Amino acid sequence: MKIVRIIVDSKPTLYAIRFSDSEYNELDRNFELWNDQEYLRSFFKEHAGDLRSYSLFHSKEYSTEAAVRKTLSDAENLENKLLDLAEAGDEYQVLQTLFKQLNDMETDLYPLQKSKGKLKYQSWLRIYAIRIDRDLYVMTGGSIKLTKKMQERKHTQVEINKMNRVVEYLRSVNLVNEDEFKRLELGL
Amino acid sequence: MTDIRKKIEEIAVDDGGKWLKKARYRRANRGWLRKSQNIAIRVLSVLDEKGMQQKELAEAMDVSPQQVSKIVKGKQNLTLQTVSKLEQVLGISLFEIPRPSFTTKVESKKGITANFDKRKERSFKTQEPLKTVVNGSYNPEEQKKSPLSLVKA
Repeated sequence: MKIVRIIVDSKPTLYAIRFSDSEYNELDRNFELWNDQEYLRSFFKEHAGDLRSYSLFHSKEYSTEAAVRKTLSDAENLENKLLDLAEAGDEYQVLQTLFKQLNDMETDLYPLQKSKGKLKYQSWLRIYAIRIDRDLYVMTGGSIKLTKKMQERKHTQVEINKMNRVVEYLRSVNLVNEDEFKRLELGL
Repeated sequence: MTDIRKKIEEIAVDDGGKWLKKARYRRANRGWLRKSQNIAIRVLSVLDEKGMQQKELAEAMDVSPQQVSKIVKGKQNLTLQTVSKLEQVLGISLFEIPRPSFTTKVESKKGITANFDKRKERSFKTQEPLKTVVNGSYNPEEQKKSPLSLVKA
């Protein structure tokens, strides 16, 4: 497993994991998939039941074709958002506005916290990351999330497993902000 | 730089900015990429409807299966020749260019006369395809008037 630099101007803020069995870092891999019509069509056919449930829940009708089109459009918007952050080179253009706690019940931010990034409007695209420090994240993967819980489907459960593996790795190379842990313990 | 940032920089690697390059490319080429995506979506739908495999499409188009695979991923800058082949083999239309028209020629017993009505005027403004204009109404009474008076009306 390698940590690849993604956004480095003006200070490094976003990294992505490249797993040893992949030639792509996780950010690159996911945007390749989300721009691949053949993959997307096959995905939505395979998850047709989930797409129907999602459509009912959100009171919107998504055919396979409409789902592919929405994914392409959402991927474009999400990528542009990241690209804007990358090109702004402005430390106040913080990633913390993009990434939130993975667990909706959590309110604190802490080291090695599992995080998710998504668009502000209703979208099934997710990118996942581990928070190392303020505005410092390592991206671990992404998914098309059609169900309420990640544990409900194999492809989203895989993303949880990947996050756990990355947390272990970051601990093993001592990438833990102990100072932040201490501040949390003291309630500062 | 804080200790934690120094630490991560010590072990981080570069991959030549792969994602950044691709993201910039996608943004700069968004116009034709979107057209390519639309073609891929349509081609995959028609293949499904016809129960046709990509391999069969490749054979019918006389191109390699790899070429078809690239087309259906929606990332290929297709030539007009390839688009025409796809249209011919699948029996579909992938491109329709709107054609503005002031007049529609209507065959009558007396010869060819021009006709122009409000619907066609709207059609021109909204750049609807020509076929909508052609289906516009034909009024034999108006046909008796001179083409110029019709335009003024």
